[in-house]
Amino acid sequence: MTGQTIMLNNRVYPYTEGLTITSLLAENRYGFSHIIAKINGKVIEDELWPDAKVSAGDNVELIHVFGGG
Amino acid sequence: MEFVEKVQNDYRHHIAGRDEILAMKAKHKVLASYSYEPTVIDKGYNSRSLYISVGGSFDTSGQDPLTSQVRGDSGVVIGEKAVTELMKEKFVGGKGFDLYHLWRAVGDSTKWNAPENEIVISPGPLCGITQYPGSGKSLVVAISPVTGLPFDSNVGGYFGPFFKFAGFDALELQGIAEEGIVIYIDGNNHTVSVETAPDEAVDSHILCEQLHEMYAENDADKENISVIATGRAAEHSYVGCLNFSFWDKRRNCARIKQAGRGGIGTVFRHKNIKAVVVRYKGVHGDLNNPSKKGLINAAGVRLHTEMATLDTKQNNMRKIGTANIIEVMDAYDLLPTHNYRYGAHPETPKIASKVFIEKYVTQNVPDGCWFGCSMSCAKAADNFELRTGAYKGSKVCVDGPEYENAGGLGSNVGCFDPHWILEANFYCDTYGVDTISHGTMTAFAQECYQRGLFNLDDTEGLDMRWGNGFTLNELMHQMVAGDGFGVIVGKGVRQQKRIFAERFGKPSPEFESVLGGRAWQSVDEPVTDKPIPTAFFNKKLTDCEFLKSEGYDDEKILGEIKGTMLENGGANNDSAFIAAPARWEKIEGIPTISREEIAAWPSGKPYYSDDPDCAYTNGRPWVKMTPEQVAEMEDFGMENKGLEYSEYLMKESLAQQGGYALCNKGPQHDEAWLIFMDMVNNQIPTFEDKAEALHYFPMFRTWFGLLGLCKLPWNDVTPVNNKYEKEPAKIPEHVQNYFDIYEGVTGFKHNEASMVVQSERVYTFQRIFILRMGSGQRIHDKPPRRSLGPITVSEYESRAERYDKQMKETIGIDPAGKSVEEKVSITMDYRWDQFRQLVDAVYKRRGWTPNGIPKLEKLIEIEMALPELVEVIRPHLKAEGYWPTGSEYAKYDA
Ligand code: SF4
Repeated sequence: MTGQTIMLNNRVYPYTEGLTITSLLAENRYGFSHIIAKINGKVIEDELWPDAKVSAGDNVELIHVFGGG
Repeated sequence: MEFVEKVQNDYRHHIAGRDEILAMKAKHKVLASYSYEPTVIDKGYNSRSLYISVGGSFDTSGQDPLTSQVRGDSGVVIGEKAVTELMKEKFVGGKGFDLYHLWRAVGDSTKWNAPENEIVISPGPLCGITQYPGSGKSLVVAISPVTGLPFDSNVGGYFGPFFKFAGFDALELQGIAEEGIVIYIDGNNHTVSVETAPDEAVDSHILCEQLHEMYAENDADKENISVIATGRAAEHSYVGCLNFSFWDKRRNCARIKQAGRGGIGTVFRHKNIKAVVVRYKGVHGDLNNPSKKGLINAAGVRLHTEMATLDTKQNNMRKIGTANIIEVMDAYDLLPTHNYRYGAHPETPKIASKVFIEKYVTQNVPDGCWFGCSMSCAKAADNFELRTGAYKGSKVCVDGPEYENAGGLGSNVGCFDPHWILEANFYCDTYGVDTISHGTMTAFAQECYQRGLFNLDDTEGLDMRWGNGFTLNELMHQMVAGDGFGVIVGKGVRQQKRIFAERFGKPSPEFESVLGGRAWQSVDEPVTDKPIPTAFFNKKLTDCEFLKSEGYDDEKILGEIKGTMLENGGANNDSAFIAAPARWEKIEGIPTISREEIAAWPSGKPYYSDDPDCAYTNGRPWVKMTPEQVAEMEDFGMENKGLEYSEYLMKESLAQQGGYALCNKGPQHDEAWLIFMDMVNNQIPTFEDKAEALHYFPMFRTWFGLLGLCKLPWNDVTPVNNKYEKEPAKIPEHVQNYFDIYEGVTGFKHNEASMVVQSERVYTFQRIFILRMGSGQRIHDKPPRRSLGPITVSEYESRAERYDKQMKETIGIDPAGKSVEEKVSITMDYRWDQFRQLVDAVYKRRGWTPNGIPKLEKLIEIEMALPELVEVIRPHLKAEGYWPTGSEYAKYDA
């Protein structure tokens, strides 16, 4: 823990060294098949998630697109 | 053709051969026959509707006039009504036309079983397109047995399009027939007949086969038939569903899709209608006579391409349909488990979509429920061998499982056995029971039982613990027989609460002596919260020693069973009960009181009474529960307005709590499903944001119901570029597709604002309709306590980390040192306050008063200040102080 944070879906979230979109999905157990990932408002293409580094202070959105049955 | 060989659904012995079917038909007596002029559909409309009274007398003076009619035997009337420009402009079609007709057919206090109650079915102006997926839906409306209010339900199958191509925009079914009838609409020969049908089956999977055979000219013609039917359980249950058929030529059998919710199948059976059959030969893509065909084709190509390239990466709709989300819901703690106590369960992998795909559901079949639906989600399990009930041993085709079936008939009742889920899915459909309500109402009875609110004596031996797949099905067999505890369960959660409260209390000590020496089995402690192994349910069991010999050691249940006799009391099932306590003889000296006297009767004092709404009794004197027990049931009886909740855990999403409780018809998620937007994505953090979502999405979803569209192609595949959209949750590209096909058919260009207004008119109309029928105020939008959060210690403790964190960070109270009971109380107080604020915000956004009454200014804004609507809201607005005072409003005060 560095004490630093990011915003994840509009909520304060602890920052750890080496955080990526993929690791954030795993930490939060976000396994849904249709998620849009954005860092600071910029869409990150799915294939780039493992390398998409998240920095302290970033605003990350992991938007689940599903409107229900 | 390899596929056909693989499918060996084997229930033909229940279906007569062609000669016998023709003999059945020969017994029909035609009560009335009507010939009509053919029409050409113009931009989606025939501009007329079909009216049928199946018999009986009632006031029809409030209805639009019949433009032509015939009157037949037994009070049958068949006629036509004009669809006016006002109807098209303000009500559009589908659910709008349905509600328009129903409003004129019923009085303010019409009950579901009154002859004037109507079932109205309308396909909508876009229905019947074959170029765009999901364009074959019908909307069905009636006064519901469970809510007592106008209720709408959306259904696939071929009926809606065929009926429209036959020449009508809506079908009104009124009256009550003297005997079982079939209505036949021949869309090619332009005739309608009402015929007695003495020998036909009632259960849907048999009846649909019989009628496809009976009315088709030959085998190939079966595809041109569609049947509406229900089943025998709809006679004794309030949650009867309607099945709409289509002929599956690959499987060579009739398939069925359900207008499941709200008990409209119960109304259908009560009207003595066995089936409505339509035949139409000659379907092609342009029968709507569209205004701009190119727009429809282009939108269709876009969506078909997405399905072809994206479905396997996204939702797998073509493999498993909506059941693809079973494990997703579990992973996000949203899968209702044990009557909505929890949102996940360790055994969920046993009922994950993969299991159904690999073991049960036939793959690589284009399972569309209307032509052109490349989403093809109407999946089926073939060769499924039934273990219980009237069709035990048959191999059948099960239409499902849908996600809701796995949630309702699986996790919510604690059943993680895919076979029992599919068996219940099959019986729900063929007997005519809504799968969602069956799950939720069974789960409620299970929780009551396990809390010790009643016992095996009350259930006549049915073990109601979680996971009992046998019981889940047996309850339905009892609904068919009209006998047994299943009849009470079949009335739905609201009626169960009343019946349990009136009958299943425990006698006070001073009254035990009046029981004539018979022991009153009682449950002082909750029974063990443990699933009973279903293998123990068989008639070899003669007393609890058998269970012991099998290693079953639950003292509580053994104690209850001990001394009771085993007998076969189970409807049409030869292994119904683990034990069947003998029914009670009437005991002298216990008074018989009228229903009116029950309210003032003391708890704990036995009495006899009758119940016209639920005649079933085991003969035991009734005893009222204590007020505390009654209040306890209110907390976890998952219904609102009388309708059982559908199968999503809403506890952690305030917006979804509102989406359910503020729904006009009751808690069905087809108005709004906001859980991910709210709970996970946190896209709607403020009350105003949530209120906006609870305005836009219900309006958008209402629109599908006006037009005759399926909602699934809107969001069960998502365009690649959706991620770049400003509001991706709306899936704007698909919304534009809908505007395009709307314009393509009707010629009218839509945008978001005009679409919302079109829906608001009907949505507001429905709100005022339920107000007229005695609901529609703030008190009626109050949810059960459990829908808002953890109401028991075990619920809180199961997610203690989450709730403690919320208490500290959101509520601002340190949970340290507090008992779990205190923490439950603090959490729930906070959540009630949040819900109150949400309701305020939503009512404001919708243009309603704080009591939930649409304001006159809102009606004027959306051009719906029709005199009959103003008349309903006026006294409420005046009483609340919201009647506007300016001179421009004076004309509305006449
Ligand atoms: S998406 Fe499924 S339910 Fe909707 S029309 Fe297509 S097959 Fe029927």
